[in-house]
Amino acid sequence: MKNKIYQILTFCVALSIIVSIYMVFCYAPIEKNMGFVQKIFYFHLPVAIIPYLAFLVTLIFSLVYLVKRERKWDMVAHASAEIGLVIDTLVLITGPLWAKPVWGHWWVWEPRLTTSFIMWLLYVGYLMLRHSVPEENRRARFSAVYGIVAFVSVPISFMSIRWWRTVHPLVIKGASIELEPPMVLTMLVSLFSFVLFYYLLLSQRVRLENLKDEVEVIKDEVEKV
Amino acid sequence: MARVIEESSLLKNASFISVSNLCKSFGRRKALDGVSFELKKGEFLSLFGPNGAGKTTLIKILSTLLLPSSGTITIDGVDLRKEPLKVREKIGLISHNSFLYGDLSAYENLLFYGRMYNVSNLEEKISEVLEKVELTHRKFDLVRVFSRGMLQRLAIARALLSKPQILLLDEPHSGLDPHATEIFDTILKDLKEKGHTLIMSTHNLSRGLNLATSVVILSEGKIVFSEKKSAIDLNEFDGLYNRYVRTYQ
Amino acid sequence: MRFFKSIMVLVQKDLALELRTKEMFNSMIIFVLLTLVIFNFAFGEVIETSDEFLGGILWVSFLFAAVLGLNRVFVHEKDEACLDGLMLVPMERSFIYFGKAIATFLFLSVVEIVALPIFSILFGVNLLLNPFLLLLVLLLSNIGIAAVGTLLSAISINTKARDLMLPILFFPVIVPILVGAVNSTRLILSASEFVADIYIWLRTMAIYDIIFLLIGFLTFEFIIEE
Repeated sequence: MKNKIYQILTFCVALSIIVSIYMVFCYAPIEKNMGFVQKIFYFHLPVAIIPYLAFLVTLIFSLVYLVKRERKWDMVAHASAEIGLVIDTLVLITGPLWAKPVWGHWWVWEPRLTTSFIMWLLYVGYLMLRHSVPEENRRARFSAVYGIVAFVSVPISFMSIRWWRTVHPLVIKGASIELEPPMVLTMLVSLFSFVLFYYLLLSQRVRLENLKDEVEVIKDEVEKV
Repeated sequence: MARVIEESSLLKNASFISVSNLCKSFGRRKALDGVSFELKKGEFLSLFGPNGAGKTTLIKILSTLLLPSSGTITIDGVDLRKEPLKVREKIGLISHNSFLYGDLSAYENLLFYGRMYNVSNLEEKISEVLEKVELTHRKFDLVRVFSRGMLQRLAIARALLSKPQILLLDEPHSGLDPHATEIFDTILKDLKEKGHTLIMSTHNLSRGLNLATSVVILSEGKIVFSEKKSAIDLNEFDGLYNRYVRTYQ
Repeated sequence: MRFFKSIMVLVQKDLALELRTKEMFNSMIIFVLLTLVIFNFAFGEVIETSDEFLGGILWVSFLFAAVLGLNRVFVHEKDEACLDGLMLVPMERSFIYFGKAIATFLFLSVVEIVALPIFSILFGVNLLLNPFLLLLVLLLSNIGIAAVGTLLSAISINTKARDLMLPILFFPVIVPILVGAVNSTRLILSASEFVADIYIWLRTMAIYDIIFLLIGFLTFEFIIEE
């Protein structure tokens, strides 16, 4: 039964990505100011938002774990952080890819990109923490606390950096984006695909972790004999 | 009047410490599996068992340092899981670790713990307990320079400061020299006489038997033997112990 | 009332330990001085021509020294399982957190106050331009560092990587304090006419402090339990 659901989900994700790509390249008009290069925006923006969603999920399930203390909550928190990190890595790659042609520099210390980088560091820290604690119960507790601390610091960091950049504005050459309705639609479809994709990855990762647990149990039984 | 006396004598016979179906798992490993026993006030329980049997786990749970996975524990009418703070007021723990700060003196350590436990007439009590463990002459020495035996004696002093009703001891004789052991046993006897309730885990069969009123043998997380000392043949106990305890290959 | 008394006793104990060993203070102050000297070598003439770097130099030095000190917060409690001893006391476990955070705050503050005059001499800075604001910046920053640092220190000391884990966990989280402190200090030391801007930074840091003290209070017991 579960396999059927995953198959349908995968199909939906594939479909929606194909539709997205079509819309990005064939449906959405070419933007006035930046030209063709602007199209990376349809990829970059959803990809930039997903980590926030993923880490929020980590925060929520970290809280739930601390209250309920069941392994499954820790599993979801962990899986979501992993996926969030991978996608955040994509943000940090696509950001510069866009920045170079538009702004002339590979990296700009503008608030959103900087916050994405700090978030990246936070969750690399989260995963490193998990690697550094062999005992399951302790690992879950520590990660849960850090999951909370990390996410809470993000909005405050963002605000601080944005205020700082307002005081010291970046001299960025390059324009703003003019949005027309078909572009908004394309963006929403793209965003939807990515959220669906995130959900697919999350469920598969949790499933993988559950299978790992089952293997451990079987291993123990075999060792006893 | 008569009714009151009746009730209080009923209470005297009631369980002071009641452990029911206690289980503790660490991940997949079951350290304690359905441990149950009862202790009346003033009893001395000696807990025997090989390494890894769960003795330390049991004592840690009773001291509130560890949470049980399941089961109920009631200490002097207080549910341990619901009101751990109240339980902590009644107990003292002496384990392999002394809980003492090496860079502070014996006096400073006792002053610290005395204040944390809100002990009244602290200065007096400190002198009192130091005398009991024969460490008065080392009052102002840094704990760092103490020998293992002195450290354990000071640990006892620390535990006694708050006059706990129940004393939990986790293999307290390990590493003690004969002089320290003597002092230690004298204190234990004294505490027993004064009506304190004690639970002690130990590898030392003869010492443990000597002081006990009840005996429990723990093996692989389960109680395999539980008797009042009066029912035990002391000469046979060695053999009995080996029989009940499975040796690991 | 019990709250204040217990925490005071805990803080006194940590102060007594530190006064006796002076481990934390000595290493932290030397480290701050070394870092300041290294910065001077690294940035040389640029510093002489502009006041803009002073805030950054000062706070990077303070933060690095803070991490050094934070790694030692629970070191006394590890020996002889003293932390277990504290957990046996009939009191809320969060008291231990507050005791440690306050002690850490005090140590940090002392190190910084001692380092400031030396900083002032090395970099030709007039600290007396606005001493109260400067102290306020120190206060708010140190509360944040102590609040978050104590919590993360309790975590990292219980990992395999130990000392190495703390900077990894700590630095990304302390960004708001770093940004706020650096900018506030810069505004004060460069006698900028925009000094009123400082209140936004101070407010941000204050919010950060309150939030993380709350998180520390609520989550500390989950870290030290077994």
